[in-house]
Amino acid sequence: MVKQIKNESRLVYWIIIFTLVIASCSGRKQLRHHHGIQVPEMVQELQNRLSDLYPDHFNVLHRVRLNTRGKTIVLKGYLKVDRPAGDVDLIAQGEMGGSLFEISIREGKRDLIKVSEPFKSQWIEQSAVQDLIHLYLVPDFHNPVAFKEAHGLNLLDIDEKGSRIYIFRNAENAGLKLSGFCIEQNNRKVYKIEYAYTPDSDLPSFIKLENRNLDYTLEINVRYMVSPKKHNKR
Amino acid sequence: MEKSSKRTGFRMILYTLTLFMVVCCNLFPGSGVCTEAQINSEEGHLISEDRLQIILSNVENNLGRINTLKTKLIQEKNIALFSEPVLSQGILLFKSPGNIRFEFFTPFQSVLLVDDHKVATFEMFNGRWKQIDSGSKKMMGIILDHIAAWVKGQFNRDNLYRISGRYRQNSKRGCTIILEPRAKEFKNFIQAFELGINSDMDRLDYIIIRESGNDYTKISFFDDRINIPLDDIYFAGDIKLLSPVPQW
Repeated sequence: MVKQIKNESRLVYWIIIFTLVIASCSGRKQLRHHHGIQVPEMVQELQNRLSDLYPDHFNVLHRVRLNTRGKTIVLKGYLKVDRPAGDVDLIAQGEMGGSLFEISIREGKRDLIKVSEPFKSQWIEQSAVQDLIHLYLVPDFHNPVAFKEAHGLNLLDIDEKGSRIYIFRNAENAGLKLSGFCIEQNNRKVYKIEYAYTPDSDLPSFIKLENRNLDYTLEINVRYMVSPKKHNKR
Repeated sequence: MEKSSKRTGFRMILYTLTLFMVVCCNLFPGSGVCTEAQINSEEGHLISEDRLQIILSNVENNLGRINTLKTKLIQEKNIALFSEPVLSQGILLFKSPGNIRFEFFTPFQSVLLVDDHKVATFEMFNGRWKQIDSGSKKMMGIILDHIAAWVKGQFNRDNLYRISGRYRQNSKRGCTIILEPRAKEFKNFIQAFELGINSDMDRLDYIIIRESGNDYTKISFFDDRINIPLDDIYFAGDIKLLSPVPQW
């Protein structure tokens, strides 16, 4: 009887050990995927750069080319952003005006959606709402890791939704700039944002966004309406 | 299905008329930008029905004399979300019988061309012109049809609007023609178009597109040139031939 209990205990012991080993290996596998040298001292610096990427309060104009399933739709976006509060308001209009959908995000969460055809609420919630959060709100981090690469630095954070990677590249005479963002799930890039800047601005002037899960891309011309007094972070 | 096609129809009409207003108002350039306060102050006495018919007739006659036109414009979009208007700058070129170039330079670059009944729109994305699909051929046909009517000064050919007019507070500055959509579904999108006509009745000073709520767009025209030679190349709807218009 005692021997049987001992055997069972050993079995449980080895199962736990085996589980821990597998779990640690899978985590390392994800980290190993991102080549580069870890630079722990840069984690806070990169997080600061993300939170300082935009002013606290600003208005944005978007001219968007939405490509999805062989169709191209041109949209105009009018956005009001309050980053400290986590608020974003968007009015999306068609090429010739008329509201197509409206979104209010409060404290980082979707508060209100008004949608007109051909768009559907569920699609807007999964696409546009998430895009706005990724584009304009200050991200939350669980356990961020910074990596040094040949052309810059990456900031990686892993949560239950996958790996989020913020890509910083050295810009000529402008230091490190956010050049991209992606989400990886099962070692597959499912979501990607690329930023382009004009030489005279620290704010992105063009954004290309690709969502492979929902099968759409956005090309976004961006113009800012920033009060000079409020844009005092840089 | 029927509901959907009805909505599509209204959207087409809306698209058409908005485009139409934007294009046609450029055929009558005049003053510079006005603020909302100025807009309100311009509302004066209602124009009588008889007088309105004379004004519309005169405008139609005067517009018929324009063979070519180029004018600068400023669009002021007032949207409830923003405390300040969004300003856009551009130009409009027109060449009789139906060639049109409607171009914005800031804050975004875009060009709409009408050349021999073909409509083409282009947008600048990340430094490259990209052609935009402006919709079906049927929609284009409607657009062209309306443009043709507006060029001739026929503001209400299909009886889509209830027309009224007001003198501007200073009558020397002309009058405002107000077009209110008759169809309820149309009115859900556009409450009214207001056309500011100068005192000589041969120019459109501005157009105001009143949308839902308090949102409105005002397009003002200035620094125009009438009946000057305009090369056909400016209206060529080919992305490879998109020629920049020299400034004036």
